[in-house]
Amino acid sequence: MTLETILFILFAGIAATTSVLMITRSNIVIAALFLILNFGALAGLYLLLNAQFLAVTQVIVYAGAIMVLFLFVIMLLKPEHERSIYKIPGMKIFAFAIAFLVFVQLAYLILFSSSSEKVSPDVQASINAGTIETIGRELFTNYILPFEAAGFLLLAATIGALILAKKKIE
Amino acid sequence: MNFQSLINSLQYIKPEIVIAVVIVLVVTTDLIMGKNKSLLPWISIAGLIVASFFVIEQFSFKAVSSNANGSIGMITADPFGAFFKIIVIVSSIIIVFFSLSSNEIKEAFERHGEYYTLIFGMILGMFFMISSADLILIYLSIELLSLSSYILAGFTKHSLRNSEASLKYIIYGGASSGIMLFGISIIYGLTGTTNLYLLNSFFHLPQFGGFIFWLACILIFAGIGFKISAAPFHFWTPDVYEGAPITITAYLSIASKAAGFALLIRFIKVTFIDSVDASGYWQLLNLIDWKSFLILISILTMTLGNFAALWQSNMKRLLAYSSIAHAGYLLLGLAVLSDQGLIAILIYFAIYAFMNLGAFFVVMIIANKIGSEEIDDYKGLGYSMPFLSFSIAVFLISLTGIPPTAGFIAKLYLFIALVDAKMIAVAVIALLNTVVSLYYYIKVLKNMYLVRPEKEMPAVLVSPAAFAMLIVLLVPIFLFGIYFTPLVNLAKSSIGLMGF
Amino acid sequence: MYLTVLLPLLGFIINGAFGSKISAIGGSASDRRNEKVIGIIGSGVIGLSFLITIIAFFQTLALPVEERKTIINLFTWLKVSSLDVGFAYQVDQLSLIMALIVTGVGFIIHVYSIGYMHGDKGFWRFFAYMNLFIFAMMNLILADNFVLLFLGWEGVGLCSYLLIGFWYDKKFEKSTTSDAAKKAFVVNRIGDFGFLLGMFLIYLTFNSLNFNEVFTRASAFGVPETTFAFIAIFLFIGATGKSAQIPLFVWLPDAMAGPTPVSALIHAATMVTAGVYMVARCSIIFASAPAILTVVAVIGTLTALFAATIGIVQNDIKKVLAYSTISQLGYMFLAMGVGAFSAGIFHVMTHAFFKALLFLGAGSVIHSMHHEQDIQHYGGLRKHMPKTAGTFLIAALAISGIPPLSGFFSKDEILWYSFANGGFLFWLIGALTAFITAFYMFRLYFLTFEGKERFGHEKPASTRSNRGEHPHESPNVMVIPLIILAVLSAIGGFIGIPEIFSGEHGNIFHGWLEPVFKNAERKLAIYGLHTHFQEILLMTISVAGAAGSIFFARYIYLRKPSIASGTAKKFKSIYNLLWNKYFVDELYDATVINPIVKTSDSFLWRIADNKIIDGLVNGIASLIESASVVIRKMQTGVAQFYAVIMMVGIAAALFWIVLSL
Repeated sequence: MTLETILFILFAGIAATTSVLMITRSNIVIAALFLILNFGALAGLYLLLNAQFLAVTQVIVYAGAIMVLFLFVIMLLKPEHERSIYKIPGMKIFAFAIAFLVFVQLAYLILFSSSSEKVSPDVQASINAGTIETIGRELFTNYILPFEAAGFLLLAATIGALILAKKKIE
Repeated sequence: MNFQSLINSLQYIKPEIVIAVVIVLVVTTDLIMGKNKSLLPWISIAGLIVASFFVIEQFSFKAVSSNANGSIGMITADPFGAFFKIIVIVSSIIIVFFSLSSNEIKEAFERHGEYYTLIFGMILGMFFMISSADLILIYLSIELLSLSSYILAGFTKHSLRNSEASLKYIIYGGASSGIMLFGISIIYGLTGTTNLYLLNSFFHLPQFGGFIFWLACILIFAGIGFKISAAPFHFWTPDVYEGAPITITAYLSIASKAAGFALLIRFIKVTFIDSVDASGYWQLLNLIDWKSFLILISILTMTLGNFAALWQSNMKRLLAYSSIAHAGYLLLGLAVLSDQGLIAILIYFAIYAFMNLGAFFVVMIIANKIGSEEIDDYKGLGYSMPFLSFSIAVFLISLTGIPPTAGFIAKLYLFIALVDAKMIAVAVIALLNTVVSLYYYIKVLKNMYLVRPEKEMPAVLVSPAAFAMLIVLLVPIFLFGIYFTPLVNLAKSSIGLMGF
Repeated sequence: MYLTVLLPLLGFIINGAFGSKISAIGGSASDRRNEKVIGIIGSGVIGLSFLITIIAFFQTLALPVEERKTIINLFTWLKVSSLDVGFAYQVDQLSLIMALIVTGVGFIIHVYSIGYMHGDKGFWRFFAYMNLFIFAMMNLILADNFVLLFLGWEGVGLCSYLLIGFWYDKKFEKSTTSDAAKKAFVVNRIGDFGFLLGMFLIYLTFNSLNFNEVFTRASAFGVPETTFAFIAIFLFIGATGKSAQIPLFVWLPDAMAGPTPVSALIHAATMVTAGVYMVARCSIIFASAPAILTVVAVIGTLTALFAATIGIVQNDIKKVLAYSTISQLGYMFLAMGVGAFSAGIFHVMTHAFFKALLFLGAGSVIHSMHHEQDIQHYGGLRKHMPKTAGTFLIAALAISGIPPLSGFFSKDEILWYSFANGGFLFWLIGALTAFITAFYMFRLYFLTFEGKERFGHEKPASTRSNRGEHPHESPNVMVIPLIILAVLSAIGGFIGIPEIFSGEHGNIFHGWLEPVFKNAERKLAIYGLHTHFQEILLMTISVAGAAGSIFFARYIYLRKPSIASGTAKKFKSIYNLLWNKYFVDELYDATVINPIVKTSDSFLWRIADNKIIDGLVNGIASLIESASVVIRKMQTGVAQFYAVIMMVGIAAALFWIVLSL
């Protein structure tokens, strides 16, 4: 077992466990804290894939900014402990069935798919691809259009936030 | 790095640039003018007209932008895209006029700046959806469109219904874009590219196919299916359509759907095409059975839409279900997988835009006057509002597809395409669906003309502006019902996608 | 030329959309002026059409013979594989003649209607319908393909229906006018069904519905005669419906429930000749099926005689004219049947003149007699309305075939051809019918305009005839059209002077139409005995017979009115038979309508409809309902549930694809 494998098992294990714990907690603050842990584990996985920039972004944006936002919302709304979201009888079984189904599909996909052989990792190239420099260059040349579109997306989001925040019109 | 090719590619996004400039213009005008918002709609219309000039220019293009290293870029300019952009522009102009006479929007006077900005956000998103040839840009454009429409759906905020619509839309939209992104990531993982043209050349290689690939395709389809409200991804439609301000409902039902269809057609045709034979039938790569899949989805969509519409009592909800059913008919046009089917879709959309906008417009005016969208409150309107009732009757008859209205022509070309492709059974199912739809459309007319109102209603006159708008919408219904050759010719010349 | 089609449409749109507004302007005080505006618009557009048609006519006349056919393609309407239907108008010798008749006579009748319809609350509606009718009729005659022709065919049928039921609340005989309209509608549908079948057969056989292509392919060999026979018989069934021939003539007398100008325009001069026109247009098809052509001739002859005999005893002025119309249409079909296509069209034209005149004259009488229509209550009207009487006399002489009035030329040409091409029997019945026609037309004339005044003193309470007020001549707006038509009826025949009188010029009318019919005539290739002596002999016989009939009528109805009633008493059974129109309506009631009603009541309604169909429909409806309930239940409004369904959808789709491969 290489160090990489050990680290992968570690991070993946944390990610899987925390996600399960997160959705099963009835206390929403605790659930949010598990989500932070989950994000952190994912950042570790990105690092293992030589995506340094993505890993850092993951920590800053998700584990940092978004989670703070979540916690703020939770703090302001002070939600009661939810008893159960499964108001419709049989919903739980149904949800499990669907989840199981998706799981089987994905498992099949990973285990038996021949297509995944195509990706042949050239280590140096993948390290290079993950640097800020490469990403920046790509983003401002070939991906300038999506970049600008994302800019407008954020503008729309800002306006949306403004509308939602503004006082109700009587 | 060759930036020249990037700069050259700018010529293919002229309409998008105009729209982006208008967004900035609207925001700044709103800031500068302060309380005076009356200029905004006119800036919008002027911007749309300018954009339409550049769109018309694209009818003569058949090009794709190029990357810095000269490889295929992200955006295309072709007659097909131009046709859909024209539909978006026309319906946007009409929606701006709707908004001018909508009580709901007038009440939210304070926020007109935001309203028009978000509408243009939607337009920009739709333009990118229509002409994009790259999954990344496709995803972002869908998000841009969706985000703007979430907010607009909850725009007036005066009723619980409204906020609920917005919230549901966000949740459902978020889920479906997540699903789509998952599909895109799988495709990227398999091929290392997100460009549709490159994907197509990859898919020619023998090792593609299989479970994982199908999963990716269906996930991406789910994302697009959400936009065009195809079953089983349509559940948001009735709730959102009912709750949203009616101008936005009308807009979602046409422009947003048109953009979704353009995207779906481009995605399927560009990515999976093998060859086009002499009689215009598309031979797709033998990777996934799109034909049966699309037939299944379309039959499901139109049947669900029509059957659920049968017992609706709210006009907006009824039109929501009817628009789901129409999405089903349109999907059938794609399922034919031929140029003829594509022509049928284009004709259908051009006509559908007018009749659906018209129906929503009349519903809006009637709601302005009687304060209700319930079909039961339409009793006897044929006597108190003869012109409005006549107009909505025409629009509904056209939606059903009865001659001499344009709706008949739309359906006719669709059925001809189906029959030509020997899809007789499917055509029969679609025909039966049309018969079912007749029932709920006629129910509205029956209420208006055959049922006497409970209380005597005074005759109501239509304002000149609304009258003019209705005439503008009515004329094409009759014109294209009788003299439809130019429309057909336009559609025939607009089926050219970049690369074909 | 296409303007002649579009102008009436324009008139219809203006009068239809704004007519009610125009008549509402200024309140009731300015009725007269508003009516004038509507009337001028309504007749103006037709007048303009007429002018354009005249110009087109002379332009065509200036062209060499082989270039006289132009096709104006407005736009392609529908193009699907081999089916190519355009809004295309064919201007040739035949359609020009028909267009001249329709717009010309139409214009005159429109003008007349301004006076006749004065004061009617549906004034604008009337003109809107009339304009729509002209529009449809022009489509019918100018169409260059069967689809457009059928469109016009249905269009005129619709207008006829609307106009018969124009006074929908008025009583007509035992029932209301709307029942009469319904009857016309239903009977015409039977005919249309035949026509449609014919059209389908044509498309199947020739793979086109375009006149030029169909007729070119039809004149080439290779299509079996039976196919032609089927096509021809179906087309002819269509023609019998529209042109009121045996057995589908029953609607036309009832159609007189409409306003009189309508009877003149639609049910005498133009629409009812559409069947004749259609047969003439398809002459090559009919010529390729000689057996059917004989059927046409037989039906035409029988109808002519049959309707004429009924006409003898009718007392309603419009009914008499209606039966005479049926009879004259019979003549036209006789002409078609014996291959004398241009003679038939010639008769269409002259008939349009004198029959329109007769109807308008009758309208003028009815107008002044306050809607009394029974000729028993007329008499001596010549003193009160000399102009009407004079013009009516000219028309009656024309229809009786007295030279040199127009009817003489056209009728004798038909009789001559039926003798030469058809046979002695056709001629004999035709001539006999001509005598009867002369007789009852003059019975009508004498009872109406001559003799003692029989109005005003009998049954003053029950009849609606004048209450102490004298009948009066109609206003100029009605009289002038009468005079114009009288002139046309008098001299209209001269363009078709037969060869024996005109010498080397030949028959001008025949020559003009010759290119249209030459293929059919060549195919028929029947030229019987043809000596000038025979022609003159036959002519003399028919003129003498007609003149004799007129004097006979004068003798009976002016000198010895007792003879008429005496004969009626003596031959009561025959009189009753004729009076009741051979009991055809009753026959249809007993053999067709009642059984249908009975079966539909006892079986179709009680069992098939109530039990089977209702059960089926209700079953389907409840199935749909329950399905829709399920679908509606799915729309719970809970967003999570929607997301679940979406997931299920994706999973299902995936499994479906896996399974399908």
